[in-house]
Amino acid sequence: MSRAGLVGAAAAALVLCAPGGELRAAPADDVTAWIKLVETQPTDMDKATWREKRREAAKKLGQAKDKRAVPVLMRVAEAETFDIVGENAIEALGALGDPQAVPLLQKIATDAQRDQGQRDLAKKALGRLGVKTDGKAPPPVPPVPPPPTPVPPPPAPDVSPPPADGSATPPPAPAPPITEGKLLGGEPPPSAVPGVPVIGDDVLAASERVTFTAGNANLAYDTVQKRVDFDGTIGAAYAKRVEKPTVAYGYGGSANVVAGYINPAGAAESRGGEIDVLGDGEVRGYAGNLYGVGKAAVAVHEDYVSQINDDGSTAAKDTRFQGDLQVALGGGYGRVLDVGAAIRVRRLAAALQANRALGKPIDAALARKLQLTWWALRGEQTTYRALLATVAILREAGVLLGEPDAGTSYELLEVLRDSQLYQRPVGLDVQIAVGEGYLKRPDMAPTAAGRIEQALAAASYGKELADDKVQVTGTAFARLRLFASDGQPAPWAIGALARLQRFAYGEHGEPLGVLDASLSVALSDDDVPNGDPALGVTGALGFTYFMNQASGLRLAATATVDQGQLFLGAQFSATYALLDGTVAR
Amino acid sequence: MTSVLLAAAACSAGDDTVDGTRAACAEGGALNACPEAERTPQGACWRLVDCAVIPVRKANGFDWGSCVSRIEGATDDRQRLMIDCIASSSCDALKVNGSPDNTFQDLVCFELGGK
Repeated sequence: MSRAGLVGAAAAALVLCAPGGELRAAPADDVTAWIKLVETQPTDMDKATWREKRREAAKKLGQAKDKRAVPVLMRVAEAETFDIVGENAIEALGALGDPQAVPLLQKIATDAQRDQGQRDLAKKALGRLGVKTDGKAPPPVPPVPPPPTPVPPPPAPDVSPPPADGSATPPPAPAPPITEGKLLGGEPPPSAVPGVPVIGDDVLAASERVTFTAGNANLAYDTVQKRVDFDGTIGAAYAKRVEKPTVAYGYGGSANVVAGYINPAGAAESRGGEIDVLGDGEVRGYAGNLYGVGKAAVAVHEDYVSQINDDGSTAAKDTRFQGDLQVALGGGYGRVLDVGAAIRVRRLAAALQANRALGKPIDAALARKLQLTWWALRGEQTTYRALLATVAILREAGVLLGEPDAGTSYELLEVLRDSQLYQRPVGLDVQIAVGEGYLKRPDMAPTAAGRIEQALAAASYGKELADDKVQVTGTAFARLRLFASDGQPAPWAIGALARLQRFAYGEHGEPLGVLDASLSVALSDDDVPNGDPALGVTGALGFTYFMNQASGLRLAATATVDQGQLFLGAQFSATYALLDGTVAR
Repeated sequence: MTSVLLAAAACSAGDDTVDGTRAACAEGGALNACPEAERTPQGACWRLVDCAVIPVRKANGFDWGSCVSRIEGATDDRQRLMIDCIASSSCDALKVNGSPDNTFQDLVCFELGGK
């Protein structure tokens, strides 16, 4: 055990064994141990225990009547604005009666940023020192003297990511004295808390999603037959939505490209590709829960296919273009908000509460600040900066009592990494609209083209239950083509989907899996001669469970009845493994 | 890993063709935009049924079951092309003359997967 550890353990033992009642003159060794305990967390003591013992030690320093305790108590009284150890130090300074604490106590007594309880205690302490508190501004506070015998700190663990270029890490700067733990590298650099997006105070919810997918890209060359094969898919999507009390708007777009060159042995070959581009937007104006809505959508599709037969003749060569330009006007009731980030804040508070590190509740302003910070850092490759920024913000606000220990840090990281907290809709939204548009289709295409009018209805619902571990969602749609010309069909369809998800978490907040059940019903009619309305019902049940980092199972089943045809599907997959155990030197 | 898929015919129309139920995006253009289909042979073929491109069941014809067989019988690269093409296309882009009773040879996404 290190020297610091021995001192700390001794101090803890002394505190634990100290008799009750007021100590008039504690032994000098006791005072030294209490000072050490107040200043330094023993290496063999966990954070929560140390907090308790530190508070007791600060009290006892006030009772010990030893002036050596004044500097350390002044440092604690000045720095600890939220932990109760700060209040203990203020009381102790009053009890010790040393006039060098007066300027500091006057500053605390008039500091509007301080908790009222601390200010009152400072006034009381000043009274014990014979100083009247008349509300006047205090004289400048002289610097608090440094610790008389600084304890050499152990090196802080380096949890920063290695340089991406593999270059050597520069030697670390000397570690500062351990006061409130340096587990996360001490006070984060200024860049740890990034600039956050500017979002008005009246914004109820906002989201922005950017997705790039290069699903498949394969290029092969057969050196024997001198053949090239290629297939690839690439896509991108963007969506933004802002919800305010009186207005809401959203817009987005997506593009997908699929291309391939199939070249089997012989003369036959096939090559082609397609590109799809879609853009849409919506604006709502609210009056209470009722709203009017305007929507627009534009889409372009182009495909090209060429097929060559074995004999070298052309089997098919085709290029097709489609274009859509549509608008819709309507109205509705309610709205659905994505509250995933709010759930993440609640889980963060719960993790701190469980670790006895929650100094006070996270209010709405702080929750917004955290969410915007995560938004700003969403492009980071790792969660490191998000963790640093989160801890810094929580500490600055006095929510987090001291630097989090290893266990608390782990749980905070699990909350920040939890991918089950994305797209968690809450609310009810019902909408009807009438659409008008022009569809450009290839000649002789079997689809409606030209002007097309339709009635559209949509509904969505979401609710969080059981401490946000159960989510119930539902969607519904209906469409009917209007004003179809003579001889043209007026197809319609109506459908609904209900889904329940139960998220499972481990003891320390680790996502362990999800139970997923859904039921969908659809009814439609193509409005063609001799056609009847069609009914389809699909039920699905799935369970994914991660037993450990290398093991998991997935059990899923689906049943579909469509027009009397029954389709059953089932999937079971399981992997069990233990991670390698290795030792090296 | 075990994966089981079973299709059982219960009852059907007199002409042995069952079209299937349509999704919201089967008609009406981009305002009724579809979510992408599940990128499996089964998911891609359900997309074709939802879009009225192929029937759920057609005796001696190209239906959902034969669609799945067609995709699963192709090489990996051709499977990927067909599935990706179906997943990212609109319903109108998938339809061909004769839908939902045409044969698969006319489907652009199957042509993209080669002969």
